[in-house]
Amino acid sequence: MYGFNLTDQDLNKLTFRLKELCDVDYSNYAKSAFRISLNSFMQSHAIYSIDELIFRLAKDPLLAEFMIKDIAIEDSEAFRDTLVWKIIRFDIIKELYEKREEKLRIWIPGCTTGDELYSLCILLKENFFMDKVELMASSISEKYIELIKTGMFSIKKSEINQANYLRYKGKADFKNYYTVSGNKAHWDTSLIEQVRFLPARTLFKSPPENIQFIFFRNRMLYYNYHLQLQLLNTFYQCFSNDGFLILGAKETLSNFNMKAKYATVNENESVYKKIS
Amino acid sequence: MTNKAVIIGGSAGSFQVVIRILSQIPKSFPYPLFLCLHRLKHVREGFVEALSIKSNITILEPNDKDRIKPGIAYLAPSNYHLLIEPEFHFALSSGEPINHSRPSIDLSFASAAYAYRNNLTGIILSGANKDGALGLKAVADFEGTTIVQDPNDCQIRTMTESAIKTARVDHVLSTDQIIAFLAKMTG
Repeated sequence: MYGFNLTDQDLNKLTFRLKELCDVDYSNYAKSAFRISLNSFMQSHAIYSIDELIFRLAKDPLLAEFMIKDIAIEDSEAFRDTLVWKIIRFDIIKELYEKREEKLRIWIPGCTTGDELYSLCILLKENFFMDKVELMASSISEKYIELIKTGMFSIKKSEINQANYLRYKGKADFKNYYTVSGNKAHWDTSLIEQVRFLPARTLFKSPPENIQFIFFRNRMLYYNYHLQLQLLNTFYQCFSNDGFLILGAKETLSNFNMKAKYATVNENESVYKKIS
Repeated sequence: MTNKAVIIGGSAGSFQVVIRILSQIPKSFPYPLFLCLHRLKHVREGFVEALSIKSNITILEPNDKDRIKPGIAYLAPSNYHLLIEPEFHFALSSGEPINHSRPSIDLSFASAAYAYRNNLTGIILSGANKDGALGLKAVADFEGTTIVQDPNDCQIRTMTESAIKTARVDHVLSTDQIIAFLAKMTG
């Protein structure tokens, strides 16, 4: 039943074995969402118990990589939450750039679908900022990066992406940014030509330094309070003197004691600024 | 968890029913009330305000990791799944839609059933799809109390009929009887 039939002992056993088998620590993941995506992965691979799953993962490292990908699954859209994209376009990029001669360093630490990366690249390109930034992206799974590089996305998304872009009031004809063939759509991959992809799980291993803008929307949701707090401190260390942090609309710093570290720029859109 | 909670799921035709429930629920309702209602994906504002006009209790859209408090109605935000964690807090998810729905009634009900066990009451209202049927079954499997709005009382009966077919249902009630049930819980 959506993974809620799995016991806590099942999950603990799996988490313990996964640390040894696949280089990912799930012990601080939000439990309900972990159950749901784990259950969906097991169903799609016709695996009916945790013991069977552990047995198959131990035999097949490729299966483990697919599991890591599916546990992080999300459903996003290009230009989701229009207002936040307007804030980036009209406030953040300009404020950051006015004070700076060297390139702005931007990091998207949790790419999955590519919707946000392509949206950001469109925004930067339309506002002539592309050659003024160094844009870095990383993911929990190399599988997502491979997918993003192909530019492929579900044709069902194009209508909603288009509607979001119109609300955002972009400068171009959105249809120029992708092509359609059959039931697949492909982003124009030249949009991400300048993106530097960092190794998988960089976030937990060796996060980049001297960053001015971190874009991490709806990814904190996957973690428990303890790991969220740890990441907020990690980001604080990654920033140079000043820097903007954007979280998802329902991810708020108000549950954390962060007043000395981050000031609120926009509460509804979870836009924060490092206090230096 | 020892404390009780109530969860309501609804879709097309449930809005007026929820308004009536909220306008007649006792002001001193002593448990959290979770509302998982299908809603427009891109309209984030306005729903809480619309429900609040006549409501006897406070309505909030929780943020991720917010603590669950008694006497408050919590509305699932648009475009997120609302999950209830056993440690008395919410967890939102941007995971894939289930039955084409996000928020998914099934997921909210299943997570609440796991967290609250036999202390949960699940209520399915009018709607035009099958979301909620498996969620209500989870409530029954964890020995909670299951209620379905009488399909004859519903604007659209698909969702309630599907729940009745899928889950062990303790009570099939009209809107007035649901209101009376919640009043009785208040004691």
